[in-house]
Amino acid sequence: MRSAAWVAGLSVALLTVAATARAEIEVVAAKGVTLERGSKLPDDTVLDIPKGGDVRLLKQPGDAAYAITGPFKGTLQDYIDRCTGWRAWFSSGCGTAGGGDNLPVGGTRGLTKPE
Amino acid sequence: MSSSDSSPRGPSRVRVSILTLLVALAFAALAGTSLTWLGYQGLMIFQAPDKFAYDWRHALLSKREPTSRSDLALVMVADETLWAYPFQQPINRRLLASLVRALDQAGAKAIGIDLIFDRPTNPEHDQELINAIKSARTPIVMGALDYRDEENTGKIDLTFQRGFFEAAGVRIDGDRVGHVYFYNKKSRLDNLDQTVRFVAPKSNKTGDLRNSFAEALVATSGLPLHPIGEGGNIAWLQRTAADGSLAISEMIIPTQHRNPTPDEILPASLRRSLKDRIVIVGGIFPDRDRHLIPPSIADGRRVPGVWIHANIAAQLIDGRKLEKLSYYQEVLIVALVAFIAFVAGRYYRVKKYEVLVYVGGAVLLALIGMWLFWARGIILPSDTIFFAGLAGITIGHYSGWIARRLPFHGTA
Repeated sequence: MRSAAWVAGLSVALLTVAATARAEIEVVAAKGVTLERGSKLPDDTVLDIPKGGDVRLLKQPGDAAYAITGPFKGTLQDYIDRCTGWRAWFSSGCGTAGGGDNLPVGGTRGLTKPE
Repeated sequence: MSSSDSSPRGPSRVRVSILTLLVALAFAALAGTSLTWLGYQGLMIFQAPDKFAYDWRHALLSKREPTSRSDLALVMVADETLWAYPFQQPINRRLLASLVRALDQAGAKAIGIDLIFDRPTNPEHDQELINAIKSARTPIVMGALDYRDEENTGKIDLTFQRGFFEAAGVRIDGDRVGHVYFYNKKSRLDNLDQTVRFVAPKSNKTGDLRNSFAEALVATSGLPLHPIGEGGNIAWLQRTAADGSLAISEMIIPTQHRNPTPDEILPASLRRSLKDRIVIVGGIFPDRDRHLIPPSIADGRRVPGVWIHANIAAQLIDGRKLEKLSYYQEVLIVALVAFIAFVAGRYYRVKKYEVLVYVGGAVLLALIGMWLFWARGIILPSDTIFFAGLAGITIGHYSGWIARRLPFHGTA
């Protein structure tokens, strides 16, 4: 009886530790995906971001900020695995690519006051 | 025929060797001073390889944070913030007032506003922003223009800026205002370098602001400030940290309608992430305030000005520096390389393998430059050193031929 109580207690403790250690992600902004700003999701949530979409997340604990651009399908951990170390150079949407050619706008604005 | 075969024997050979060494030393001194001077005057014809190497050093070897910094955050106004407004510029000041209130409530350590207040808008909205800045408990630092660029832009009128700041309780010559200029150096032989590499030098013009926006912001926040020096190199951070997160967190503010409340702008759950950070508010638009920086060489990305200010602030907080060699250090190193190359060209006939020597030399120079950058934060001037080596080998190689045509050759 005592050992059963001990096992039950240990299980509860382990579950509590597991729940505490489980990371969450918080949605800062989402473009092209229906995610509510400020909402919290479990970190194993599969994100399906279409091309042109952009999702900004905070990983908790620690508030590490992530910017994931589409196309991307996977969890935050999939993104981290793909976008850290040398693999980041060969993966798209990792913040190390995505510039490329640009189209400067020839519009003007200024502060010069007529004399 | 090798040079040693053609050299005179006995005392005359010794004399020629000493003469050659003297010539090598004179050549090295000339090469060292003239190439360094040309470099400092922006007159090096082939600067592109140097900039190329310099930019790749930044792209590959700049500091990579382990995760997002906990002391800085960017809050950005973008197209998706302003979609509901009839115009984008100046940014709606009622919106900005709500944003300032939200950041104040979030408990930011300091708020920096990297926006330009050069003209009035709706008087009611202007007043709301003035009130929000004035009543904030968080210290607020304003980015500002001054008169340093008047030569290029024509006479500018900053009357409104001064009045607006003063109404908000911010003295234009006080600690809570910093200029928002970066610095591009003009080369005399090619087009203006469009890449932002330096903090702006201090302006000595009367009425100009002494501190940069980032300096004013870090000083106001109470975090330690380690000066970079006038016109110093910006030590960039890699945009992404080692864990794939953004080195400096970026929050873009979306809006659903024209009059969002502070809670709509920044939900309570997100405010926690800005607490005790320096928060820099700026714009991120596709057509304005976007700049090439050295790491852009890897991806072509133009970064918003607010991100550059954040990098300078991070550098000021961390005390990271990138140092160029001093003028005399450069003269010495260039002269040494010129001397060694001259002797190698004269006695070891390395010009026979010139492709190998030049390619190997360039690779070696690049590797040494990368190591110095990575380990010591030193920027090695690869163009002057490379051309000293090239000139040394070539002139050393033909020095025997020249010496044989001198009137005193073989007369001793």
